[in-house]
Amino acid sequence: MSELLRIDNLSKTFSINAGGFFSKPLKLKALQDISFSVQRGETLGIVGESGCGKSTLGRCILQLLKPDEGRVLWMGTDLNRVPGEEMRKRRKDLQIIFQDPLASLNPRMTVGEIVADPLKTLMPELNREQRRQRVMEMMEAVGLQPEMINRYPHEFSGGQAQRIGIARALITEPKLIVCDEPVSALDVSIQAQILNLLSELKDQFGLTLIFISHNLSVVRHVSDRILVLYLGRMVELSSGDELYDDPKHPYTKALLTAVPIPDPKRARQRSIDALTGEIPSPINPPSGCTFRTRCRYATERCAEIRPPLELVSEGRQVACIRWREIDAAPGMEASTAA
Amino acid sequence: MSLLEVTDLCVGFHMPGRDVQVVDKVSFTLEEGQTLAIVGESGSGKTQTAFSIVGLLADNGYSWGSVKFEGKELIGLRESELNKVRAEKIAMIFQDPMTSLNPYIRVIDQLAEVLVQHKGVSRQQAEAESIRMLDAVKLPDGKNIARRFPHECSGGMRQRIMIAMALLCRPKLLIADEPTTALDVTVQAQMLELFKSLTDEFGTALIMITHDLGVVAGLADKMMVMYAGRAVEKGTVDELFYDPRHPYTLGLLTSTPHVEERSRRLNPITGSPPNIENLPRGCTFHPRCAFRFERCFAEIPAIREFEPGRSKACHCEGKLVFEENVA
Repeated sequence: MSELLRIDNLSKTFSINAGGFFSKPLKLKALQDISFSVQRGETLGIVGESGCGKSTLGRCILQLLKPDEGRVLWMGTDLNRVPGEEMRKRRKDLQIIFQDPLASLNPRMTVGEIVADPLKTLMPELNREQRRQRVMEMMEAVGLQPEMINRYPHEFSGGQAQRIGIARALITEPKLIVCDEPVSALDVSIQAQILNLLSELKDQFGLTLIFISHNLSVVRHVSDRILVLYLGRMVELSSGDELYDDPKHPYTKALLTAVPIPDPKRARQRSIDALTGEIPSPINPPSGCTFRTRCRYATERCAEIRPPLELVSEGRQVACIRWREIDAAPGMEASTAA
Repeated sequence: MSLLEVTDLCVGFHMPGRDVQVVDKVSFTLEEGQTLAIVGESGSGKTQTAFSIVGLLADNGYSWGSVKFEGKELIGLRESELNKVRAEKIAMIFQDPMTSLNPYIRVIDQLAEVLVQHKGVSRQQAEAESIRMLDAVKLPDGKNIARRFPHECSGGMRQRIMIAMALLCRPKLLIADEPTTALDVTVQAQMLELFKSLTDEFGTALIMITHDLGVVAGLADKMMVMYAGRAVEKGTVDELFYDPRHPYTLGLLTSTPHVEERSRRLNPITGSPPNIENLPRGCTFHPRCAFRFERCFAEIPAIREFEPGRSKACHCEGKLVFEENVA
């Protein structure tokens, strides 16, 4: 496997109007010090709750948002420094699928026009017939009948609309697709269809996927490696199996026990060790470790030190100053809670 | 006598130039302190079923059939009488906690008003009781939160306030429509724990409407699966999860990803739910069903009891043996 994408110390801050006309805008640190790499052909899952910066991260990778600091290295080139015209050419390699399938399709365009649209700017060398040919191929690949080519988005159900969105993303033969909550708006039975479709297409076209979702069951299902974010910071990065079998960070542990399990007997046995409180405001995050306000292992030091990402094992990182202690004493959980 | 007895409940809507029926002959019973989950995908009629129980259908909606609460028929009851039942005996919680609270009124005023109106207690008593209830739903520092406006509270807090408000009159029955769908997973876990402890503590019966099988598994005693306006399978949670007898129930289970295991493939249900105005002939599920045979194309299966306490609307007999469907 070779490295396709590398994110280096990426940070993004938004200015928010504080309300008053003359008041100073507030700073919302959406992402801070994010670093990771994506290998060719893998699926990297990004999970976190609302406000953790997962969508902002997706957008920064695609240069839909300009990061304030850090680099986005795409096959060795820093995309932040690539001039606009040049970036446009590169966009055919980087595509995105959005959460709300219907809202992301222009209601006045036919399906054929929507799917063909990226080709006009990104691959202008194709003639009309070639474009049409490609649209047909893509529609078939995502499971839409070619007869539907002249229909409008409102004639489609949510699942079909998402297929159109996928066809549009695929048509430029991208290397990487960022899937931003692609199944969250869909019903369970349809969600499974789309997840299976994505994994088939990934094999068929040799895609690399970044899969952003708040749903940990879905992320586990699709991802090879998983990045957990909390309030704009990296909490844990690990292979999917290791993360789910043996989470190291207290937040990851809590997240996993909070996921409802569709199995009544297991659900009854399991003691839900619910986190107390809610996510603090990203405008005014806690000092030190941002998770400490909800963490049962938090000590005074956690308020002072911003936990650095430590290497747990090959390819596995965690940002908690106490992870070794916690790992060594599994019973500590109960005693600290009591 | 059961607490709630719903028999052949139907719901329709007047639409321009036509009438659309969205719920078709749904029946179920609920005992005191029990939790029933109504499960279905969007458009299955689960929310309208619940709304019609409490007479909260939109203006163009109407219902028929029978809804007996403590032996009293609710359908066709006058609005004033229904209001009494709704306030004192049956309470409802909605999906979006922001839109169900009045943004201009402080939390305490919204809560206390309920008690003053319905229980006729003094303002002071009402406020004291309201704060007690805010503590009961485990809001940290209920006194302080009571003074806030809804926008000053987070999503999880607002949902707790909604629950506190619903419980103020100590209802016998609580209907919760997707109460955790808009919440983050860690907050959702807190809410589900809260529901569990409340049904134990207050003996409240709960109808939980949801599309999330994970939520159902940990919380409910009984469950009813709906598809295209009809109940397709009913039974206890364990029966439906471990021995589903309707192909749709089975399909829902096999298409739900599981956080504890990474299976290679999900087995989704093919196709998409039908348009309620243009239902397929015969069994409404047959175009998506892996078990269909000739009879399913022509004849609508009636819901029937095939084992004591278990019923389904399907022509298939016996257990479903699932062959990997190569969709």
